[in-house]
Amino acid sequence: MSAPSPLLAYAPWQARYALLRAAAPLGLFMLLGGIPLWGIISGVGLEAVRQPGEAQSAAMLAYGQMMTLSMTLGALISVSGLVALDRERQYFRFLFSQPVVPWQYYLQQFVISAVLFAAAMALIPMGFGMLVIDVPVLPVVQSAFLYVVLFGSLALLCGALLNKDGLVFIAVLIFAVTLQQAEAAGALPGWLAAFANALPPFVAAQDVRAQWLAGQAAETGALIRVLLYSLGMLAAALFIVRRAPLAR
Amino acid sequence: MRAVDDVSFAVAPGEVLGIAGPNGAGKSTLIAMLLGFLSPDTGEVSVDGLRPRDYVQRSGVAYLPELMTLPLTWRTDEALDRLATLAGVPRAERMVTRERVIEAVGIGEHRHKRLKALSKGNLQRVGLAQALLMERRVVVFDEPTHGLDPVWTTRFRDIVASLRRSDRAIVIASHNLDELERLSDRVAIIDRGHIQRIVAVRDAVGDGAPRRWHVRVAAGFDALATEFPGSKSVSGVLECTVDVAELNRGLGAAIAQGALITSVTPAESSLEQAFRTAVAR
Repeated sequence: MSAPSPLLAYAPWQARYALLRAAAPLGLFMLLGGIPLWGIISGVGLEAVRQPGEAQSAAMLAYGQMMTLSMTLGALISVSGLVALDRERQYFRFLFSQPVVPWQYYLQQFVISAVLFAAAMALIPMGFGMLVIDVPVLPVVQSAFLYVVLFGSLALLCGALLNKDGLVFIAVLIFAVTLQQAEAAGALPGWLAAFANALPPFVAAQDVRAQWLAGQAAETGALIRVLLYSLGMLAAALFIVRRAPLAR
Repeated sequence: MRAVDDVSFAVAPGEVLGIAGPNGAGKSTLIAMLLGFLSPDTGEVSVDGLRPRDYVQRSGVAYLPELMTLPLTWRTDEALDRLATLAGVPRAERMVTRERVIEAVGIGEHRHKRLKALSKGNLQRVGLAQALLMERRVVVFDEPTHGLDPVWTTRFRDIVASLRRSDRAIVIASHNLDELERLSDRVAIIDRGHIQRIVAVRDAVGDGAPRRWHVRVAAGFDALATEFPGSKSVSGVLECTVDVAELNRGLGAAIAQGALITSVTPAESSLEQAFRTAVAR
């Protein structure tokens, strides 16, 4: 059997980076989100939470909020800064004097980070299931993957273009979500509605996630739109990494 | 603003080319283009007939950047393991390779320390170690002895000497002229983005141009001074400005008259002289 390429052999190091990168914020969000749940359990007792009723509804609400927080911010943190940080801190000088293709390096890091993040998110429903009541794990993993691919590809694109990618990402996110929510409410004129729809489809991703978590099938059009848009941004980011100077 | 402009040079296999220049002259920009980290707006850079990035992606380059910019949370051995992996060192050979380069640059006692715990000189040695992980045909050192103590500066010269190979091109950018003169075959002097001169260091002493020399004698100073009209005595040392042929004739004549010569040294190196002329403002 031939030896793996240097880049494939480097995958475990990238996985370690992804885990270290995602673990702390993910743990923090789970903790923050878990505090209300802990409060409910402390107040009414574990048995009461496990029985259908108001306490369980409150626990389910806390679970949903913890999920939203962890999925949104965790997805952003786990894949943001990949290109920009290496460029800004000049790590690329060591990485890319080796026989490695930069865009392949970042694609591999992106895939590893996305898969590990989605897998890590499974811990939340599993933990909730052990403690309170069984909740489906697969929709959470699916949603986390969709989020991390959408957020990550935008973050990668921002990082390929600019050093301050985090700020730009947040600005685009807030701008797009605000416009798309207004568009969904039918409150925008035609041209602005078209513009809102041309922005990264955050609201469509929210809708797909909500459908999956509610145990429904996702609307195919929205799902395909989110995936295609993400792949488009990812391809654009990798193209820029390939063509633009590494030293800027 | 152009960092480098109208620059043209070639480095042959088996050659060590030095790049000298004051701060901000464009040395690091040149190196970034050589590695494909930057592309020229016009003109062409090629390494072994390929675009630099294509060459690096195919074969890799032994490169020591000016600044040691690896993540400081990495441990020394971890940094070398990671870069050895990317460099293509097979898994079975990784530990042996790592220990070989650790030994070569004398950082054994620091192998488990995080990079942030290392001194500037030791960090530079880690940088040098990673450049030695694989046998590469192109070696690029940017200010390689920056932060090294005198002992390791000397050791570095030995390492460069050991890297000389008929199929390997070595480029060293430095503002240390003494270092470049000792290590290089030719030195390109760059200033304000232009290559001002390329000096063939090995041939420079015998190029027929007059140079300043310091000659020390144990006896026969007057005989020596007679042979070099216009010379002057500086603290008992004769300083004269002649070419190599005239120097040898004068010394021979003085010795025939009983002078005992103890040393003959250039007052300044040929490279220093060329550098001073090239970057004169």
